[in-house]
Amino acid sequence: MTHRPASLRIFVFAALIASVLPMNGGPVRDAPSLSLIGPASVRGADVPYVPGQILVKFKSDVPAAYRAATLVLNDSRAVGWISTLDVYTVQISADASVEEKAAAFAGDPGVLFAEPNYVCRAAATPNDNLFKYQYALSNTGQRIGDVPGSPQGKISADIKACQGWEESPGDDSVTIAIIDSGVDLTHPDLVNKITGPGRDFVNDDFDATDDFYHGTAVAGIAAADTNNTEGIAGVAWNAGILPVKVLNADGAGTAARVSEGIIWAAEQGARIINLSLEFDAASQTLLDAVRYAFNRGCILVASAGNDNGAVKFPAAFDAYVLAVAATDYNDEVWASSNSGPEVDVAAPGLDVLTTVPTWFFGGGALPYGYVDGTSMAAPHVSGLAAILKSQKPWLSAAEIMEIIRFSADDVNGATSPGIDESIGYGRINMEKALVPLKLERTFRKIGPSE
Amino acid sequence: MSAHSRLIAVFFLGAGILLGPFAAPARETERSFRIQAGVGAEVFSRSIVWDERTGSSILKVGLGMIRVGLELPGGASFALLAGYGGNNWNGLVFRELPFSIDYEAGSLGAILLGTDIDVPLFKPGKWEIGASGRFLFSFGSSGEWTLTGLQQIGAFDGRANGLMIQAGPTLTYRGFETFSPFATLFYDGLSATFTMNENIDPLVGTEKKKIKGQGAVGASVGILFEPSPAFRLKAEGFLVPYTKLEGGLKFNVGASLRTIYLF
Repeated sequence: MTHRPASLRIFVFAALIASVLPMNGGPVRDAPSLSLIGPASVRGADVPYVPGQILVKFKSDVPAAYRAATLVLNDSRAVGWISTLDVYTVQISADASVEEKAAAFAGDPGVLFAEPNYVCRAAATPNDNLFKYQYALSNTGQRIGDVPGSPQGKISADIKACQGWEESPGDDSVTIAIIDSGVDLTHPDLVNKITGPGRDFVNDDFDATDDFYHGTAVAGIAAADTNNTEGIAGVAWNAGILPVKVLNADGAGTAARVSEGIIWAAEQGARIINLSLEFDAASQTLLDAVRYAFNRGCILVASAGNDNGAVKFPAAFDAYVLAVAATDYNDEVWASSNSGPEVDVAAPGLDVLTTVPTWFFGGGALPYGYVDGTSMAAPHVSGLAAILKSQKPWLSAAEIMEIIRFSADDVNGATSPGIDESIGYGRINMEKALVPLKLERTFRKIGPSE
Repeated sequence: MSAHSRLIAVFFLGAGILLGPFAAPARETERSFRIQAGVGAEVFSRSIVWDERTGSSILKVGLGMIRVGLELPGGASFALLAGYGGNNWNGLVFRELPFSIDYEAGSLGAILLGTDIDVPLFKPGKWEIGASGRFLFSFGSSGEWTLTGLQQIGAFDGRANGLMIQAGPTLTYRGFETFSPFATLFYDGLSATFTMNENIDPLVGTEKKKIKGQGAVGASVGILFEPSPAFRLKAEGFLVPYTKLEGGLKFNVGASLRTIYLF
């Protein structure tokens, strides 16, 4: 088996943000502004707002002609109006700065106030200080990364984590097994979530310490310590992490080891098994192991693969495994994501901020980095599965898999409506999966049908 | 509080039934039984709780009923009620289905069957102290709904059955010729079961939700118009206080209007 590690772009993320973080104070290099979109007027430098938009209120006695002229003079146009408040949503020119334009409007004698169109978040927003960079969980249109030229995500191109957490962030009754390269057992954002030293099938011992990076990255996405004021938020706030090491320091493993790992995890009581790894061929041994775990009630989640080819194994074991493709910060299919009829759902897999081993960057840098790949998409789904299982423990693995499928958003519906081979049912949506759906009156058309 | 109120209500009602014919001198002693018939309409709301008081919403009810009964010498009456009502269960949340559901589909119809009992007990001066009670069974009709918005269309059907009990003392002023103002204090009991079925193929689930009314004691004031010996019009307004789950006192309100013909 060859494990194709997702590309890890070593942002020296730590250096960029060390000034605001209370952890491992390492050497700090030139740190650009930390603002997400730009400095906001009163609440500090990291308040997100809609790019290219401001809200403007004219004085009540200002005539319509003056208002129109003011907009034209500022190279802007009104795209909305809150009639009760007499406030306009104004689209400014693409090259204009929100702050400067708001200031220009505010300086007009006919304008009562002008301000950025701030972006709100649901109440269940964790207080982890890197959460604002996790577009996959809550995409406010923030920049992906803090270096000049970083791409900018599309608002709401996320898995609706905050809305889902409003209903339930999950509890500690469910453990997610990370069948991978192990997990950094001392990582500050994981140490309290790890249920034990795990199992190492590479060295045949009971110390699943990660000597690659991959398992630590996967574990953080699924279930990093959340709402602890530091680091990132995991999808499943309270789920336990069971480290199972089946990949060596090069990220390679065998069907035998992976199968052993799956069986061991199932027997340890893990309800969710994350398999961010891939085989090119279908191993009967691996299939038997997957079936064994499924029949014990485990929900198995696997990455589809990262070479733009067919879905890899075990993701391609369609009856037993949720195969996860990757989308990006614009809710578009990640170009390298594998596709095929086995793909069930997708989740963000490009530029995902997550935990990396504390030794990874060295030099006292913060142990977080941006990672790509369907390997990073899968643990989002594992986290959701863990919340669902803790919320409704009576549901079977197959039922939870269906809930995850049916609640997905068909984000490529414009070009491939319905279930397709790129993202299956769509990008997962935690809000639809967890929050009670409104059952409203069904109106039937009366009269002759067409 | 609830059990205590129920005990008081049962006491008053039982005492009324047992002592009524003896305690209250008949107003029209020359007549024996009179047949009652009439129609009535009622609207009210009740705060309801479920899932061991972890959820609550407001049930809104509108109903129309016909009544047929007997009025005994002394003024005690017993009537059978039959009618139809609409129960608005909006806000009820089903979290044990595969996909949790927040019911916002409005009213469900229900056939209503019940009894009404009124017993005058004492008549000190121009006042009349009595007891009254009502038992009302609600047999809900089935509703069907379709849920879109998921990758698979969902089909739902649901039905609610319930029982409402009101019983307590009444105080009526009989000093006017053609009308009598009255006030009541009553135990207010409401229990229901809402069964919801979910089918989002292949996901299926059924949840039976036990619902209870919040607020055990209510009060009402009203006027009984008696323009002739053969016709009465009874108008009544209700108030049932309850404590919100998050704290704070609130009131459910209601009103009823009944016509009663006596033969």
